[in-house]
Amino acid sequence: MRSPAPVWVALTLFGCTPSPDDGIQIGSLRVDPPPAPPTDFKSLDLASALADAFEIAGVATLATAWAGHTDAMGRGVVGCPDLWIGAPPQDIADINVGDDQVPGLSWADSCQTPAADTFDGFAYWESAIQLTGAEPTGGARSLTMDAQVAAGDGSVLLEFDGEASDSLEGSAYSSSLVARSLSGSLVGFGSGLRGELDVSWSGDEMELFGSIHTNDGFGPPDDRDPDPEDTPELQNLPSWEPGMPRFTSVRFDLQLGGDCALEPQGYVGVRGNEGFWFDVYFLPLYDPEEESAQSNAFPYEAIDNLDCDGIGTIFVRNLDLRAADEGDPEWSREVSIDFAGILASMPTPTLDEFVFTLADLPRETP
Amino acid sequence: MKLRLCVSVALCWGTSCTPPTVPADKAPTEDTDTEDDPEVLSIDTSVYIPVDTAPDVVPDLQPSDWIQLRHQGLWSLSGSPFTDLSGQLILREYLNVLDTAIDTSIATTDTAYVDPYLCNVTYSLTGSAIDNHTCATCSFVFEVEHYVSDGDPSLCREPDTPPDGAVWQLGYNAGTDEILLNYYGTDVWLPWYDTTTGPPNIAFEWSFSLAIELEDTGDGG
Repeated sequence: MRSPAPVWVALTLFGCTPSPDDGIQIGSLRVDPPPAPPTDFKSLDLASALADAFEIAGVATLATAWAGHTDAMGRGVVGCPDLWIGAPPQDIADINVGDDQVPGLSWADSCQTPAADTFDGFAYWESAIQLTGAEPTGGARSLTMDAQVAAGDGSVLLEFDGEASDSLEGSAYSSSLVARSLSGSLVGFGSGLRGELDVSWSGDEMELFGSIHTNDGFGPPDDRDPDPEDTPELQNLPSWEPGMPRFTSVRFDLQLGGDCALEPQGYVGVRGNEGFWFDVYFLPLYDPEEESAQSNAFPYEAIDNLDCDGIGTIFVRNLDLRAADEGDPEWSREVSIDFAGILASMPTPTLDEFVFTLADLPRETP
Repeated sequence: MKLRLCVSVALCWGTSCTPPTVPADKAPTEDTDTEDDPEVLSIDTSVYIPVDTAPDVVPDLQPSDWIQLRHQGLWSLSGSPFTDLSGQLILREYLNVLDTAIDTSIATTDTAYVDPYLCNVTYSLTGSAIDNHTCATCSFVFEVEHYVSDGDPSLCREPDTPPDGAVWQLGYNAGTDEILLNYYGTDVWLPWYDTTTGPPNIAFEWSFSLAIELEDTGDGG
């Protein structure tokens, strides 16, 4: 189910800003004259950056947080952390557990193991294998956590503040992640990520919606000259450094499948470290005739290529780059993406990864 | 009223406006910046999740109540090699320390009687050996049917309590003296019980303690 958030974002923008001179997209910079795009927008390998974006989406899932948590629990001992049936005490975590279901398990503690690993915070999880008759055909899991697990040397093994769930039915995987922070060596990502992302994919379909911010950034090193005369977009950016990763965040509103296997409906964006978004629009996601905020926001009229060919149209800072394209035979505002390859590379967990029971937790020997 | 106004404005834009364009003469090779009309705006259209500044560290809780989970069972194997299994499994859950003064084997009509067990289930087990299995470390594997002969398994808190009639694939590893479970047929074989005697009469047991927050019943008890 699509989040209602974009509707409200759009309505807020429409309702609370003065009537624009140009632009119909959500988040458009409605100024006259239009602002300039970042100075290096023609030299960036956007296809590569978008491939990175999909890679980030593939791992910004519950599966990643879950694997980190199960690995972390393998470092626990009896009593550290204390394990609870159901949710932790309500004064620690207000988690709603349905009355008509088997409660999950949790831990809540601030403790140190004999190996000097530390557990601070709480985690509540549920997992189930779905059966068709006697055959296991799927699994479902959820994890709500606000905790950090660290090694004896102080290095963070896992930190997750958020809630997430996922399910696997045959080869169809779906995940919904809300992460105020997700980091640690057990999950990768360097110093972590945060954001909100709903994803699903199977053999020939994929749907992505949400945005993820990576603390360490991604993409090629930023080789722009910081001279304000040459790169005005880098003014007033005290945290910018030469050579830092060019991009920080990704966002999606994308659906692949149906009539066109080569190209999705919707768009994917990557955010530059100066704060400007590079969005690539593919086939229209919304019916132009539906007159919704989303349909009005989609820049149909500014996209020439509406063929099913895997080629998207680049917008930078929400600007139509048609004139820049037409004025430079060496550069194109269109970019070709191998979506079949991307879909094939999305990491799908296996059913055995949904198995996490009391047998996997530390207990006293009889 | 306010919402309706917002929507109507949005619809107007959608039908009458075009996106801003970058003229060819404003390509970045040309400095378009001026002191009076700066081109660079400090506008970031990112969508951010608020950072949670709450401390991650919770108090060092000292749980006051614990659920004790206790499983005990016996397999009697017959045949050579083993082909059939019969036996019993008893699942018990109780709060904190069991009141051993109460003999639960005695039927009572005393309304003041309090069952010390939150869950007390006895299963009769029957099983047949199978050769077509995926347990590489098992000496032998049985499909074991769990028939409830006494008690109500739905009262048990343990998430993997067998329901009445459940048929589980269970194997025996002679090297580790463990009974392993093919978890819901996933071919993930989990060490499930430690055994205390070997075949043909395999005794096994398992115990676990989990903290629990008891609901305040308001009776002062």
